[in-house]
Amino acid sequence: MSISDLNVLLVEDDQNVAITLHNMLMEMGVSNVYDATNGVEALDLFHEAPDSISLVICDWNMPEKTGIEVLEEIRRTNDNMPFLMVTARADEASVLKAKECNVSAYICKPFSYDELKKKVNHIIDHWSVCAD
Amino acid sequence: MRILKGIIKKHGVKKNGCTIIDIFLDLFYNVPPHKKIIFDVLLLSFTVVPFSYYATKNDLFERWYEYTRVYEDWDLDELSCVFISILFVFFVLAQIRLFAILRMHKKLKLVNQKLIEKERNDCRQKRMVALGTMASGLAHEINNALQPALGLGEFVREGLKENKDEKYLAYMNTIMNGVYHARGIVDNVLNYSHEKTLVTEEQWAKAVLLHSLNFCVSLIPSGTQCVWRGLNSIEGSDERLILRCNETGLSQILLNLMKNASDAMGGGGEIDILVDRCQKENDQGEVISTLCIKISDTGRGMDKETMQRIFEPFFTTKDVSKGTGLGLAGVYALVKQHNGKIKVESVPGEGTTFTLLFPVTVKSRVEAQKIINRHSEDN
Repeated sequence: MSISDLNVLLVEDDQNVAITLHNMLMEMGVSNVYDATNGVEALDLFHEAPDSISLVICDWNMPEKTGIEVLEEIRRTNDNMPFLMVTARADEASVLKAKECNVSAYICKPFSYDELKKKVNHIIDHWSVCAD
Repeated sequence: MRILKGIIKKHGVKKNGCTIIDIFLDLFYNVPPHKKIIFDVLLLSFTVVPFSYYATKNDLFERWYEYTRVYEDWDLDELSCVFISILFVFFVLAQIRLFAILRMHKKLKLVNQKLIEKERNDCRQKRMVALGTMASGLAHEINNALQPALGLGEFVREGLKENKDEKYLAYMNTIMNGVYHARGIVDNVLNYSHEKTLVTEEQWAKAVLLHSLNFCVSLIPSGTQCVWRGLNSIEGSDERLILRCNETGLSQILLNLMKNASDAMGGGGEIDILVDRCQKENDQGEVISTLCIKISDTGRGMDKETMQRIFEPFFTTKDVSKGTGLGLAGVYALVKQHNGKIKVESVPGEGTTFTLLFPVTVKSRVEAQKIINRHSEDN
């Protein structure tokens, strides 16, 4: 799989950050970005068409459903879905918690375009191997 | 009278019974009961016994009686003689008790001083924690807010480069520098408030230190000379000091201290770094080894008040444009994450010395090699 084949589900409650990430992904050349502004909306989108999504990028701190809850919900039905957690926190406890829930990768805000691209590439290289 | 009754009641039920001395001591000086028996024996042996001995030997009571007979109008009999003697004994007791109280007072003063010092430390600690919590909350908000600038700014810069718009490209460069600088500050805050995970691993102390020092020397202003001593003599030829550390973290600690030293000497002067190994026995009789790094400058030094505050976040004596006040706060947090200690000594006008203490373990060469190999395999 390459970046141009990716269909990304982007979950972010902060509108400014959502627009930023959306544009960064489009610049990267992914094929499609589905936007969700909260966890509930994201899960609805995911359950509607789980096969059409190849990467989830999700914020940790959101009202209603947190990123971890979204991740847990997705993992219940799909162990291989690549999941990139976006967060403003990098303390030991949250990293461990995310790892426990089988997160694919973890990126700390604020990050530059290059850093995001590196993470996405890393996920494609390592996670799709596991998925096969 | 009520007090006296209370005391008699208190002592009356005790196994040892109650002497008049008990009542007296309790009434005036409130001596803890388990010490009373010692006082009784001491007081008796030092006052009453010698006095009675002296009195009988020299016929004191009779002489006193004779003496009082001289003044007919005093009308004292033998009983009053005894009464005066008892008063005298009590007077002596009081003197001794006073002496003991003075000594106790001295001790209490010392304890009090220690308590005040401890309270001040606790207070400082609490303030640091509160500031840390606030700063880390703020840092997360700022991280969120910085995301659009950092994420999209680079595209704008690229666009301007393509269009060869030199003027706006220069503006954009300045903006992006500011954004990266802001990210660095927030990073420092998170470092300070223990929000960032520091992965430590066991390493050969000498090699790590040498590497870090070389790295730091390349980054301090070129006007400042840097000399280190003692690195070769911290271990024998057959042993290795193993330090649990994060190399980047260690370099950050040293770099911050060395940059501060250089700033304090106006970008010139000489930084003296002394590496040493201390050994101490703990309560269980085990030998504890400590790696000690002393970083001294001959700069302007600082007064006591400044010294008490240097590890507080946002405290700085530098220009607003030069220092964020987070350097030493970060150093403090990093040292703590290494289970280390940091001390500072300074004389205004003469210079400052920072002492870093890190726990190390002493291993044989072969053992050390195994540990280091294991870590490199893990990675």
